[in-house]
Amino acid sequence: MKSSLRNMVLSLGGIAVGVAALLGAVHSLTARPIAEAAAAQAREAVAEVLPPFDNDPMAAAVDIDGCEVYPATMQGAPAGAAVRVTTMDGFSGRIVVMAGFDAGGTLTGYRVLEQAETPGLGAQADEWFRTAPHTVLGTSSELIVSKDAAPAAAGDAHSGAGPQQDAGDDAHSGASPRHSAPATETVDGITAATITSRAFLGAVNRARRAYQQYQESCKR
Amino acid sequence: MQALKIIYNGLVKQNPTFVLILGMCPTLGTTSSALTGMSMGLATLFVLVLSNAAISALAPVVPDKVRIPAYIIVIASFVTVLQMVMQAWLPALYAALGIFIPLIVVNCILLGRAESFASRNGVWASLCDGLGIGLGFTLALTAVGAVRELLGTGAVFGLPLYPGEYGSLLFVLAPGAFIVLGLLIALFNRLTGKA
Repeated sequence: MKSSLRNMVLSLGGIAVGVAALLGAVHSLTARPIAEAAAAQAREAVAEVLPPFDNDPMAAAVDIDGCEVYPATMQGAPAGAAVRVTTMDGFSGRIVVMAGFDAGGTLTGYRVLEQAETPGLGAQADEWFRTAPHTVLGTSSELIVSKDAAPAAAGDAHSGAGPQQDAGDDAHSGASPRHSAPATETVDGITAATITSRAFLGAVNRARRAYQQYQESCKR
Repeated sequence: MQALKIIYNGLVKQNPTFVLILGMCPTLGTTSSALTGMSMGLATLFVLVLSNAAISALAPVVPDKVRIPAYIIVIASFVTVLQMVMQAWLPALYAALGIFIPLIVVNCILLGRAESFASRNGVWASLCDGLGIGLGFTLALTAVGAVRELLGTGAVFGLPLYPGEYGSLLFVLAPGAFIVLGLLIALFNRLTGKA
């Protein structure tokens, strides 16, 4: 068709209006499911990593040190908390981890919510760290990749700051209550994905410190 | 009959990946496993069928000088629809494909088919063309993904065929995509008698 200003404006305008109506219709159809899917994913992750609880941890969320802490209670008594932590130390983009702790500070579960690590290697983090012998479940102290532990200090309770301590860890170490958990535990990292392993364990450590800080603040 | 011929044309004779060598970005970026490759192919198929049909219907009333912006608006809106639908009902898949879903807008297969086929043919023929090209793209992405997954992790569609330790990381990463794609293009042309 031959172009004139009139028909160009009319056709483009018409298409734009039609498309806007279509998008509006689809949006009104999908807005609720999208919000529900996001909320369900977060709720599911919280429920999965925590010991039994009967409150709504999402409603009681607290922000500590950039970590979202979702405290859980069982019949009014504290039953631990789920902590959502984000790290940029991974191999590719950010890693978001939901870690769950019981009232005593023991890691009861975790879930990798978001990651873009190498498929087949770092991307296994969600599986790897819950499988024996390299599981992090049930640990209650700082974790370091076994490869980073000094050979003599492996298994030694007082290795203190491992060489993998990244900038983020250093920034927080001053504020964290060291007196309660001085020991470090070593965990075998994912084969050929040490950077991801360090980032993941670093994230879990930060989540643990955020939870400890939360507990301290509750005592006061 | 006509419809089957158009679909066959898109699937084999003018396979977008192996013959036209179009849409290389998603081909290289989303084929680290057979499943993500196939999902990306199906997502593109969905947009391609709808945009082809819509554009062939609109073509008679769109003036020549604004046809490209008009087509892009149509394609972009269908991609946005796809994005919202996936976020609502397939959030895990949406998370896996990430940025490649919005990037379907600039996939040259879509604009290419709009220009070279949909704007010159009827709605039904254009729909078949979208289906054929989309299936061809899906097939190619699934094949590249399956080979990369097999050589890289020892599995296809997550089904382990040999221990993952023997897999080569190279094939999971970007260079492997180029190598596998090149070999599959050669194989495809050999099988279809072009070389």
